Amino acid sequence: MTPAGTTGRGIAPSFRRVAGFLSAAGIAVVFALFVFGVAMRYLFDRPVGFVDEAVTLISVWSTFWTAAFVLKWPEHIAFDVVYAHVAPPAQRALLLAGATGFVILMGAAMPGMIDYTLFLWRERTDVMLLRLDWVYAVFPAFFAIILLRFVIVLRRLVGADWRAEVAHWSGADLDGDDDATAPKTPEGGA
Amino acid sequence: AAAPAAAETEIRISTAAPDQSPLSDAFRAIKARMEAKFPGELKISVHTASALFRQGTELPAMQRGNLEMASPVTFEIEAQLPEYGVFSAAYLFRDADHLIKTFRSDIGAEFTKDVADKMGIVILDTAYLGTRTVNLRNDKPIKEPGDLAGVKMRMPPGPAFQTLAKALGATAVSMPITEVYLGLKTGSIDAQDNPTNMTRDWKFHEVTKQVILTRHLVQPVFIAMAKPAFDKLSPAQQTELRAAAREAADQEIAKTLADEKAAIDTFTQAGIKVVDPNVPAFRAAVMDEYRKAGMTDKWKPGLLDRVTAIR
Amino acid sequence: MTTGLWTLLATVVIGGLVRLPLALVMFAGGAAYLFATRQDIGLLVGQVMNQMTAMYVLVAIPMFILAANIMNAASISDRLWAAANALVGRFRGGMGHVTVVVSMIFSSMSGSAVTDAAGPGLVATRQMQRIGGYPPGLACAITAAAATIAPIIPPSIPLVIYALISGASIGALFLAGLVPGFLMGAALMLAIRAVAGRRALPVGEVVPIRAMPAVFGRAALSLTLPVVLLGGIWTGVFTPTEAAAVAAFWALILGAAVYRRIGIQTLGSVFGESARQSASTMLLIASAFILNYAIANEGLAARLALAITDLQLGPMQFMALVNLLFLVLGCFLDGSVMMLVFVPLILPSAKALGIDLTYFGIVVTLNFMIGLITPPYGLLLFVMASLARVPLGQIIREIWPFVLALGGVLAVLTVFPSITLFLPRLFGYE
Ligand code: NA
Ligand code: NA
Repeated sequence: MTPAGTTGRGIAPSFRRVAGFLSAAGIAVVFALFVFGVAMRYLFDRPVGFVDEAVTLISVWSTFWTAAFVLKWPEHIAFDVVYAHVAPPAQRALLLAGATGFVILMGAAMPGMIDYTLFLWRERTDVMLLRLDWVYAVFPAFFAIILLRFVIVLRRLVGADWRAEVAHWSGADLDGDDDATAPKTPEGGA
Repeated sequence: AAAPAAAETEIRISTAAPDQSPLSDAFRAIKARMEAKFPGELKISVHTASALFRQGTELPAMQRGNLEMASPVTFEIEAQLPEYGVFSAAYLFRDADHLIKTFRSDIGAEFTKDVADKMGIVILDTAYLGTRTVNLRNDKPIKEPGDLAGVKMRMPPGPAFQTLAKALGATAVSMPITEVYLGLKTGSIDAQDNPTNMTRDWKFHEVTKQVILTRHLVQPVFIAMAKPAFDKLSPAQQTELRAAAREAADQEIAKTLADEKAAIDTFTQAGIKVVDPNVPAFRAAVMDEYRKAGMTDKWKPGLLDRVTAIR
Repeated sequence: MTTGLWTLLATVVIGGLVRLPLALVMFAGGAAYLFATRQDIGLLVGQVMNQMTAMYVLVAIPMFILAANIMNAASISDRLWAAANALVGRFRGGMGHVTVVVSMIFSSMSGSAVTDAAGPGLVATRQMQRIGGYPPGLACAITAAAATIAPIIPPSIPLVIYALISGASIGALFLAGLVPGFLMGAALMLAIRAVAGRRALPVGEVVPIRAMPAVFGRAALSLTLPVVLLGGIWTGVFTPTEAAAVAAFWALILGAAVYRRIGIQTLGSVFGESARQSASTMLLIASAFILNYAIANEGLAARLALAITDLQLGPMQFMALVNLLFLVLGCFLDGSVMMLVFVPLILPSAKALGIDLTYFGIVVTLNFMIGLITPPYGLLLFVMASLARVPLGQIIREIWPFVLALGGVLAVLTVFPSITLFLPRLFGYE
């Protein structure tokens, strides 16, 4: 449906598959840890202290990882009150303005965010005693990836292929190649 | 009227203590006294119940210049200065009086200097958070450490508390405090440890049958300020702030002690059994466990004995 | 309002209108606020990550989303809904009523509205569309509204936090929530009935009486799921947060070993889909934390509380104003901000007026629950839009009858405190 190389609109498909696997693994590990924690406490009377912290940290990491690499733009929740009701050229203008503003604002914020994260080397988590600069690094890293993706969006919006990009943002191609990864629910994904 | 020569200095105070608590009152007292003494010069805001910064995140916030004052506890200091881990040890302080005497002695002065030099935090004064004690949901008789065997006790997160639970003879369970009430009600935990007034404030006594006065952890809480913010104050303001902190701390200690006693009265009236166990036996067991776990080696040499010697 | 807050608001409104993802817009609003007030931009990292890594109960959200997806893949949802359809499918709007009832049952297991919407709510939404013939926006609106019951019927995370803030008894609050929870359910069913009649929704399949035993038999094992969860929580085997994962585990056992619908491949895609659905929801929750900081740092609540105290109102006038204030604030702010930042400041006035703190707690919590479904900032609306992939605008168009119904319950509870206090008093709380 879309020209080769633009499938997924943002990140190369092979990388997306690896990223998607890691994101699924994250939630699977959280699930397994929860069940393990309940079993150890209730069945074996041996409560395990690190489970609470581990499930929390893995969930947070998994959230930012998935949002950065796996979620496509229309999968993020947004207000489309204006966007959905204007013609493609106006949609292009809206996206151009939004992406430019975001890149400038958050680009300016990046040095401060990185500096703060590095500052946290002196603090550790409560239970597993992981260094906070490492734990929190996922947040600036998330913004770095999002900024990069916005730069790609901007490049496409000013290029010849801009119509495909504005259509992607309205979710037009969301149920195309994506169905391959959606679960085959009994009702057929209704 | 002419505009004030200097702009208002903003002082934001953050504490995890609930809005209605002796510690929050102490900070409001400091605000009132300072603003009355230096009208138009100081603008102080008190943010209670972790509304501005969550507990455990205030120290880095002060070190980074994002917050001026807060109420750190020993565990937070220990994270950056491990040699002072001894202040978080169970059965170090005999009671609130011993604790305050210690921090107002040369030990306290030494500690305050280290915290200022190495962490950039000025400890203005020391107040009293409360004395942690074990609370059970059932009638199991508890006198000696061995009696807590098999008891699933909820502890705050962190290795120090896990060691402490083990030392007391119980099995440590970590659980967020918001789930403790239901945990006690349903039996996913058998016990929790908190100062008596906290047990009452969180309503845990509604689901508690026994309060065992183990008095295992007498906890200080510090009235602290970021060093750059403190240095920015005029000498007169600094002197007044220290005096205000001392006055507020004294009131806080008296109120907390009274509140802990009042909580015990509440328990007795509610028909909860209040038990005095064999405290020396618990103390011996805990110190033994600390030695076995190698924790005593990390502590500042000689500090344990010096604190114990204070009468 | 200060320059900082204006900057924040302008950034969020403009960013939202040009169709940037809402979570990113809120982060950007936070950054703009910090720049405008010349604060450390690193606070964006600090506030968001400090809160996210401390909120253990938040992990229930991905786990309930996982449980819902496993229930779908395991055919558990189908079996349960076939049974429900046999009972009420013949009535107009029947599926909507079932949604409310299922939500009330799950309320006794979960303490948070978002987990209720993400778990059974997602299943309900799909079935309302498939069996009940509901338009997607309406199905999501009903699910979102029904999920607000979760923190009113015990257990409840917001009520536990309120108990600490106010000094009210948790036991009393939990008892006090029961009747209001049922009233909310009844009011929502009335609204569904009205909407179904007006919109002439199709009637479901009529199941003949002789086919019923087979339908119920197919659902029998699936019905062990709520029994296991409720039993597990109330006998102390696991906590309400852990219950989310246990639900997924039980559904997985049924789906893999008993119904044989889930293999490795299916499981992999269920995990992947659940991760994506929970990421967009959790990202929005993360972005709300920087807003919390701005509101607290600006001392907004303190000024409002002062203004209210100055008005010198009687108890009922005061309660009316509190409702109005929280309903309006609820359109823009997260419930946790109002609970942690605003409630402590107006509590002294409530105490001074002799207002019962248990009653006050239920009333303000219901306000926050309504705030979850009022646009523009309504967390449950966002969650449903993300999980069911339905445009936000469609859900917002359909939400109003249910906001009205819950508003009616709020008014009744406010005017008649004894509805709330009757049960706690019966059990000896004064
Ligand atoms: Na509930
Ligand atoms: Na709202």
